[in-house]
Amino acid sequence: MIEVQNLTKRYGGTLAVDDLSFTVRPGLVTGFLGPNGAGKSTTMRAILGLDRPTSGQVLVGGHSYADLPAPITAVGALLDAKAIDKGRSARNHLRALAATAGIGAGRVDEVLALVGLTSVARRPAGHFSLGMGQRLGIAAALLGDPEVVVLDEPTNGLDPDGILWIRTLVRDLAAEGRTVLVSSHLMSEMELTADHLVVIGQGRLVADEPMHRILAGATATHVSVRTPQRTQLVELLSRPDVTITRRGTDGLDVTGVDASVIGGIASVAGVELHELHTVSASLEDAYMELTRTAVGYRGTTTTVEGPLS
Amino acid sequence: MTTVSAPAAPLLRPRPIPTHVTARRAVRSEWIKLTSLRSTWITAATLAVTVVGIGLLATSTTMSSATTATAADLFGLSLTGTAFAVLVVGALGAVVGAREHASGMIRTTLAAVPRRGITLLAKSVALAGIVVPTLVAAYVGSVLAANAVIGGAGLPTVAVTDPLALRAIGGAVLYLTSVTLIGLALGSVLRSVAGAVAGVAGLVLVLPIVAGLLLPASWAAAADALPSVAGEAVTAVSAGAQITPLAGAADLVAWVVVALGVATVLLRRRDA
Repeated sequence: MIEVQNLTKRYGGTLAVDDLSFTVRPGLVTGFLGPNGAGKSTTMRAILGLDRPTSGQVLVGGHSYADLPAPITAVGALLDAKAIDKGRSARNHLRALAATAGIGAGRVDEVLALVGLTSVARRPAGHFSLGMGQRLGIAAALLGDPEVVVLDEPTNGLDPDGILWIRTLVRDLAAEGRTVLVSSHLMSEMELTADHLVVIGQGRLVADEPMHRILAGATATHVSVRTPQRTQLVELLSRPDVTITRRGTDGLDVTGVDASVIGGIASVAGVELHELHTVSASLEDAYMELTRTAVGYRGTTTTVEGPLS
Repeated sequence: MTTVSAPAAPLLRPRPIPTHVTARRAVRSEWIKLTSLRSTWITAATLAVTVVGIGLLATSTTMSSATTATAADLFGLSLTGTAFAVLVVGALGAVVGAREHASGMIRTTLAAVPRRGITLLAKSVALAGIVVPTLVAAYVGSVLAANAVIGGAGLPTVAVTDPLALRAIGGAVLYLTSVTLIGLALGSVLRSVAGAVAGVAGLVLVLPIVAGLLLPASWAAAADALPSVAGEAVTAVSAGAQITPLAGAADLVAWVVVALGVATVLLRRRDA
């Protein structure tokens, strides 16, 4: 459990995080979403006790981070995969980290195998590709078998295989009952991974909701139709609760009727269709909408409502 | 949203693992970090070569022109490397103090050991654990080698076990270890390898010259407090240093305590 309580962080004149409160619960993957510069990394550094809050506090498992007797066994974190001393081997990097909690080399080799770095474990980590670096960062996060896992943009720079691997790993960690916080600036990534979303914009909370509710708000759909007999079809579909927008020379965007109904009507009337498909507003659109409007609100929580794209 | 399927095997099997970060474990961690970098060993080797090499060079070139020299004077030649080694250890300390801040690794370190005073102390102990044995071996080696040269020329030598030799070697080790730790503190404060190396070089090389040439006589007390003056005092083999060896040793310890103290306070206060 991570509790962020009225967290505010100011760097000089810049307000990076503004009165932010949310809770990350165990057993779920919580996506931490926001555009670049929204304050995600600052919040994560505050969770790990690295940056001192200007006001407010963060509790991990009910404790202040500094009071954790052996932090790496309580919280595993990946903040920046490139933040390592370049000349040290991956194995020695992990051995040094493990030593802080008296964890031996056996566990180091175990997590190296888990992330698939065994064969390169003795090579200088500075020569690793971005993907290998991310895997090393994940290995470091899992080293102490922590209850809480915090990953800052873990899929950054990964190839599709790596992204799939992270997704599965993150889901498995949550399935084991761990508290998992994963940040990203891409909604598309969260769509497939997160159970719960915390969205921030300009350091303020924009949304803190279960994924299914955000999805429900985002599934505003329309039906895209192409037909050479457009005028005829518009007449057939015209009803008060149906909105029709003309597109190009033969296209229509229809809201308020299912594609199957449109197909049926066209078939009965003998209208030729060249295209008929349902278009869902993507979660990405919902997210853009959320963070765009966030600028206009001051410290209030908005929910996903109203028209989306 | 997606269906949650239990993993085939638990990713992380529950295991009885020792917990609690202790100062001892923090030192162990820093020791692994230091000894697993090739640059540490290259610097240690450079340090040993500087002490022994320059000691031998000074002994063999100066010895012949100093026929009236005492055994103590000749012994002093074997310690000549100190003046150069001080740059090596200062740079080493600066690099170790600043490196993790430059790479960002410091965040991993401080997340693992949130009590920052322990972190800095652990770095200091681990680094001293490399530097002190290296220096002791290098100085003993330097004196033994120099004595072979001096004795071979039929000139008087001071045995390495002589109180004078032990005091001077101990003094040199104290001086150079102190500068190492001052460099480490400076590196931690400045968070920049280049800045810290330049800073420590300025402290041990430039400031003494500036103090000697430019400062008015009334500033003599301040100039006498410089680490370089204390270093000369603790390594002196004959009278003539500005301060006594004991005062020099106290001065060096004070420098280290203040430098690490300031670095600890700043490390605690600042964001990582």
